[in-house]
Amino acid sequence: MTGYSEISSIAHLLRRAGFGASREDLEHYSDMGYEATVEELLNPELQPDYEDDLAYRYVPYYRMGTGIPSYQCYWMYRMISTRRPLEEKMTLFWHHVFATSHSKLNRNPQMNKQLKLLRSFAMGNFRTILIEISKDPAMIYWLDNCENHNGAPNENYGRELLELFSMGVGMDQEFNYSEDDVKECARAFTGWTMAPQLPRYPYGDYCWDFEYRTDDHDHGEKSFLGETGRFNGDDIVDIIVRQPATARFLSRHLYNFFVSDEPQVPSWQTTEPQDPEAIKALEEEYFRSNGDVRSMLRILFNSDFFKNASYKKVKSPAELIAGVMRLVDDYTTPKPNSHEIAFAAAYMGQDLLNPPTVEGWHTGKEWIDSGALVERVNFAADRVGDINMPGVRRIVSRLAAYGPVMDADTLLDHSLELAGPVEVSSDRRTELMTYLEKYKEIKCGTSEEMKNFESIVTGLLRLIVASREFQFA
Amino acid sequence: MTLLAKASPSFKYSYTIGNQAVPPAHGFSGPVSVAVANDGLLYVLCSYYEYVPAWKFVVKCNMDEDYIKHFGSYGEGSGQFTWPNSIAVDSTGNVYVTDEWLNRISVFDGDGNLEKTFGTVGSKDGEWDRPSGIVFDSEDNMLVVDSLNHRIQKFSRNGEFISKFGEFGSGKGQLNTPWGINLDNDGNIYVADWRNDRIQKFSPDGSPILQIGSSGSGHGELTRPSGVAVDSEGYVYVTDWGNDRVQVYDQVGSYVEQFNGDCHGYSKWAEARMASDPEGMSAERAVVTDFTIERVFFQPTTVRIDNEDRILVVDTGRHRIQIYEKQYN
Amino acid sequence: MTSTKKDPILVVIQLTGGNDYLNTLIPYGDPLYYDNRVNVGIPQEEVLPINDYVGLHPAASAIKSLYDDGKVAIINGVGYPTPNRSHFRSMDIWHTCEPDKVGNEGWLGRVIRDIDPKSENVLTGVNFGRGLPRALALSGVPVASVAVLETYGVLTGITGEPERSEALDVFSRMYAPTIGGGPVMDYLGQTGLDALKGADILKTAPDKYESTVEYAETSISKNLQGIAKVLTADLGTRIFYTQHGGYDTHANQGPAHPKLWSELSQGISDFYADLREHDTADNVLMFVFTEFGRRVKDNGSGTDHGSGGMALAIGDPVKGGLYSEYPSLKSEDLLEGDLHFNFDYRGVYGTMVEKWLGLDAQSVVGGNFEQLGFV
Repeated sequence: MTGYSEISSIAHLLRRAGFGASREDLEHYSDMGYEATVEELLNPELQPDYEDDLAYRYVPYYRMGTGIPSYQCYWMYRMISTRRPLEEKMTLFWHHVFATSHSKLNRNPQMNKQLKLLRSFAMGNFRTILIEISKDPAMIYWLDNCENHNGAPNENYGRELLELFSMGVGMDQEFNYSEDDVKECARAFTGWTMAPQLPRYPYGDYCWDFEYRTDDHDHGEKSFLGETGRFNGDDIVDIIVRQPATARFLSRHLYNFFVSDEPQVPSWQTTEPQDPEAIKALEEEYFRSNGDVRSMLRILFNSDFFKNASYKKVKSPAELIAGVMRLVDDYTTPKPNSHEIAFAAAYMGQDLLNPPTVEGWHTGKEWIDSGALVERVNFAADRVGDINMPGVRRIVSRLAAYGPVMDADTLLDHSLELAGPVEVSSDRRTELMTYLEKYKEIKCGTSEEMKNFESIVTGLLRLIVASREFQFA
Repeated sequence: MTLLAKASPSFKYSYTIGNQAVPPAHGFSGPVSVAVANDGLLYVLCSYYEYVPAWKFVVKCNMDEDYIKHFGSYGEGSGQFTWPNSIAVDSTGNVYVTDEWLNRISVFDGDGNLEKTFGTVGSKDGEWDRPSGIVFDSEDNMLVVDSLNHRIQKFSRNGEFISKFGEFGSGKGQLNTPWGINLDNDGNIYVADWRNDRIQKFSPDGSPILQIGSSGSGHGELTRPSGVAVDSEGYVYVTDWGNDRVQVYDQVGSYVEQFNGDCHGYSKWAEARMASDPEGMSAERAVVTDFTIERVFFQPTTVRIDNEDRILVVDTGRHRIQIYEKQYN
Repeated sequence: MTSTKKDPILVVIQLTGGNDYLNTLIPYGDPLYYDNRVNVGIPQEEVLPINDYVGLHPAASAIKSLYDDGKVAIINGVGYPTPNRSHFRSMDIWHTCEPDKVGNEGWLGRVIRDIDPKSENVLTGVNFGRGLPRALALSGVPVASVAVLETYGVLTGITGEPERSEALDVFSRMYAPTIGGGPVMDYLGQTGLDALKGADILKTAPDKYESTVEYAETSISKNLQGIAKVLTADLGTRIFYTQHGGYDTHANQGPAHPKLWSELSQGISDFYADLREHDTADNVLMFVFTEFGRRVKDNGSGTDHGSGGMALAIGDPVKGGLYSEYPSLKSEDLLEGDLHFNFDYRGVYGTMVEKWLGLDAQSVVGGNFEQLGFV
């Protein structure tokens, strides 16, 4: 098939750097070429912003809801409809890294405010990112920095900043910092808190705002990672971003999220990266660019290690859902009942804005258990099996365009192509063929034949998305 | 109508109706529109969550914040709302609700009993694609904003097509996804030309007369205006939805003033609710010193004038109606 | 302990939204109750008295009958230190036994692991509802989540035959062991086949089931009937879980709360009758809990989030009666206007884990907590 490999690599890029794409979008990107597509993704400001006005008009609670599902729906809708897929994907990336949970906040729009922050620095400088997240009220409350006082430090944020947000406990079998560094780090963030805010009754929720209280800040001298001074939080971040451990940690996170599933974060001290060369390239770019995430992503997406990693990573529920919705072209404009889609992610084990702990979700293989797999298979199969979905209709018409009569091989090959392209092993191909075995000749010439053709195709599409391969990105 | 001769008026916040609650608790949730009936009663249309059916409804109450009743719920069945947009009352007291998703108008009697529904999707005369704003003229004809056909259609109150004007575009008399609609005392028609960031004034026969506002957030500028109302003296009030404020213009469309919302303390229903100190929130409240955020508008959607020239601002994101009055010193 | 050799079974019913304790076990003998519950209080003459001080809500009459038969233990003032009024956080605390830090392992996940450490039965734990409650979540512990028993399984959107059988046949081939796919592909294959197997086994339950009990057409009754079908089919399930939602009665409590309790009581009562009919009431313990109680003072038409609540243990294995003290309603004893908890929920769990399931409580609930004698 002409253009197969080009479409295939673009589809891989869009699954990872976005949330999948319709065939029409893939062809558009393919015409632009791979590298130009990478640049477009890396520069979201070149694309029109998501049309919030339409969403807020038809679904007012996307902006002013007082229940957390409002914002879960809104985010899922954005993932499905944005013309800036990498910006939204990086927002999800940071949500995985800086995992903050509504469950403790109990202040409904606060997580949405954090998301806006994550989106605003999605591909920015890592120093800025660490400082901004340290000032985010949701984070401050989630990790008790509001209880971190001059003379009475609370170590929670200081510890997680080092352990989960920047350096990691250790690497190459060594520890990256000491318990004393944690204590000193916490002292430096005393006084970083949020201003008191009105409660939700009687007129609805309000967000907290950041407040720095100099009188509650420990202005004394601190020793941190071998340096000494009257450090404040931003000085600590300056030291953190110079550490080789930080370059390693961020590189591994990007690799784990975009390239291939690594073991869970706590084991990184003792587990070597699966591709040390790839991590080294990202680390070098981190230092060369002074911690510019966009530059690191440019290296990543243009690398061979990325291009060769197709279908080697388990999709997160958000990726699976948004990808299916883009494929079938549903919820790409505002529509009622978006909660059914947002809740589906929770049924599959990813309750967005509500990760189980500060470690975030366990990813990769751990997305899958029998309950989650049933939800994943049924969600995808029900959508691609619905002939009323515009994207499904388009797939059927494209298939029908191959001629009024076709054999099962042709139909299967083209269906796999249009559903992804989904790359399956020869075993799987054989198994899928058993579904088509009974059809000697598949016809779609007359309207009667077309009806039958639709049901054959939707049945086949259901099985394709029910395959093991489809669980991978 | 005479040109304004007297001194410039000032506009003063008066009081607030409502708080966030779901019937039968007294309150509104995501109010998007209000209609003032001839007898002075209010019908407040609320469009909140889709994942809880009880959270789309109409509340009937009065200007003294006495709760009378509620009706409606989320859904596609008869008497239900999916994307309810606007509400209006005809001279006989029947209540009309437009629904942009279901492409229909539901008509209720004053007690909330469904009388009928009508509407056909399309672009021919009398058909529509997402009906939004609605208002009745002095002859009891119904003007409906046909938002995705970018036009206004006039119907008898039984739903018979009479006339239409407007088309898609950004030129004079053209519209882009319009929303709110209202009339002045002379029957001129004002349309919130939503995606063109302006208000357009049309003569009763639909000829464009005046454009008010342009894109932006400065004085007199608009970002996605959703609602418009005109008082007895010809002052034009606009809910500047995207800028979270209301702007006032004079008869010739010159900027006069803006309000950002001034709700002090509690409405009557809020007072009753807060007496039980829900979730022990008085302690949280006690340490707050700046109450600005509680006072200001959050996504105000509709503005209406009652028969005493009071200005009702539907403050959607704060689940209330803030009422302003015009004063002359 | 039960005298038969049947394995002990635990059925957990979660009341989601925060059940109003004060209007469930009503302290009708306390004038302070009526002072605080001006609008939603239950008149003395309507209360189903248990003693001179407390009685059950009239809508809970079916549970009252079970109580009178000695089948219901009411555990008063259950809660945890430092109440949290967030539904999510509070429910997490109940689910994970971690009131102080955020945990992600469910207590029942640990129970299922201890019962079936090698995961030999994919149906040791069965949840009726969609998505896995955190209480049942534990890495490596398979739990089936069943929305509707009759339609449980993969590719359920294909309703016609032979289309569905053919599709399932292809599915099972696609998930069969293959060589060279790698460990994740193998794991997916195994999980897919487990899901199919679970569905195949569960599918047999409705056909085996016969009963004269007619359940109501409510969600809780349907779920409890589903549990009865699986339980009586003897598939080796030891932990069942389901939820009854709608207890967040900020408004409209007058009609809403009684409706919930009438549905719940009827469901439990029918379920119990069904168990008796199948001669399996003696090895089933039902446990009913909620994330928190509600505020002592009503808000006009409902009640807002509070703390301190009650739990119920129901069934033949239960020693009926009132356990723990009813918290004081005196304003000086309240915590920011809420009831003060006086019995740690982990002690209630511990009682069931140790005295009913015969497992080590400490490792399940994360410490030693005072237990009760209701089993």
